[in-house]
Amino acid sequence: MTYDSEIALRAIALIAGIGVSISGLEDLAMLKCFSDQGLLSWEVNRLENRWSTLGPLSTLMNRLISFRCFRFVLLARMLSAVLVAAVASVSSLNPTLLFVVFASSAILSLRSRYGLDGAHQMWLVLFGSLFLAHIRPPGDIARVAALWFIAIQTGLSYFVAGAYKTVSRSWWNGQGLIGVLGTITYGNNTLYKLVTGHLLIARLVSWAIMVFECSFWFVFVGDTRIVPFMLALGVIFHVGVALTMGLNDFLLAFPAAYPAVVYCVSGSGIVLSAIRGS
Amino acid sequence: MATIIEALPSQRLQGYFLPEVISPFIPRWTFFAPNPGIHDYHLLYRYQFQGGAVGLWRQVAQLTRRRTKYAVLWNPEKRVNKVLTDLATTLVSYANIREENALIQVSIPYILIINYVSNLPRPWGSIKIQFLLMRRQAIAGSEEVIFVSSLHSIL
Repeated sequence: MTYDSEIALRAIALIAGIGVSISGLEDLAMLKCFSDQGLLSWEVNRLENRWSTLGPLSTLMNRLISFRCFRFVLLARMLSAVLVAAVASVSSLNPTLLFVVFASSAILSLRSRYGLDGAHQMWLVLFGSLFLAHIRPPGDIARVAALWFIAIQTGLSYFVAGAYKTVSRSWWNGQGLIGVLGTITYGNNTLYKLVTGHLLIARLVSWAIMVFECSFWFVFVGDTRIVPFMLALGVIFHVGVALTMGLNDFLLAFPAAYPAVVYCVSGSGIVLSAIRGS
Repeated sequence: MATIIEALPSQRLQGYFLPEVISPFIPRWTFFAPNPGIHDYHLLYRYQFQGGAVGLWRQVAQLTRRRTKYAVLWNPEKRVNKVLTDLATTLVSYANIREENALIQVSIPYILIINYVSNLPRPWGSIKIQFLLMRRQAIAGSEEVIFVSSLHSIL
């Protein structure tokens, strides 16, 4: 059991480390956005919360989150993520590195609630869990608990997203998908032209997304043979989202959690054994 | 448990159970649902010059740029696009609430945007700045102005 949980934790760290490295580099490329003159100015954002404007916590946090310091927080995040990915591929993980990635990602969340997406939320779940798992020795129940937490969050993420879509008329009639594909921000001109001419395709794709998201939790209760199928569908879904919408961070953030799902649903290790055997 | 509370439709319930400082860390997994974002948001600004003349609206192009073909691997612009979308939708939601409307000029999204446009390189003789938010919907072929700020001194 210890061996299996170690493999799962290292696989998560490898994929998530690569993902946060790319995301960190992207943030460094858009550094001006975080400056005092940018749209994510801390000097303005700090006025939004009581904790960041009054009291001793505000003095400490303002030093850390102000742009002067925050540049180095972003740099530390990116470099630590690179190291996490590198270390995960060869040996066991260092809790300090995991903490730096988690804490710097948490600072990003604290700094502003604008501009963050679901992939960022998943980085927090993954690195928070990885850190807590690795402050305990191998074989400790904390490592298994961390994997279960990641797996349950993954199941919840798909189910909540799917359930919310099912109460929306625009997802049932395909107009929501057409609308998204028509935007500059998340759209795709070729696909937009295709689905506007063929409404049935838009409907079928919308329904397929809802069915996939709502039924993902079957991996926890159904036959273990459906697990590889559902995870493959998940990867295809995220590749599609990355290609059509440019949400490249989702491509690694969610599949990074799949080793935890595999570990948890395998129970006696049936699925892991099959993967190792193939 | 906190994730389930965060997924509840009622913000009042969320605020009751989740303290302000913890809230940013609780995942909210409602991607593109229930109503997906079907608009592009555009930020425009213009100057008023000494003597009262007002210049033409200019668009901040880098905030709503079309993605490159490499976006599947490298897409740094997505953060600023999302920031503008978040700020615009929040600002409009404030503007739609009567009690909030009077205080909109001291809301964080308003100050963030006016702070940003005020720091853009400005022409000689300009004394005031104003911003405008516009949204475009490809599906309906419509463009609409959703918010116009007051004129603010930039001296």
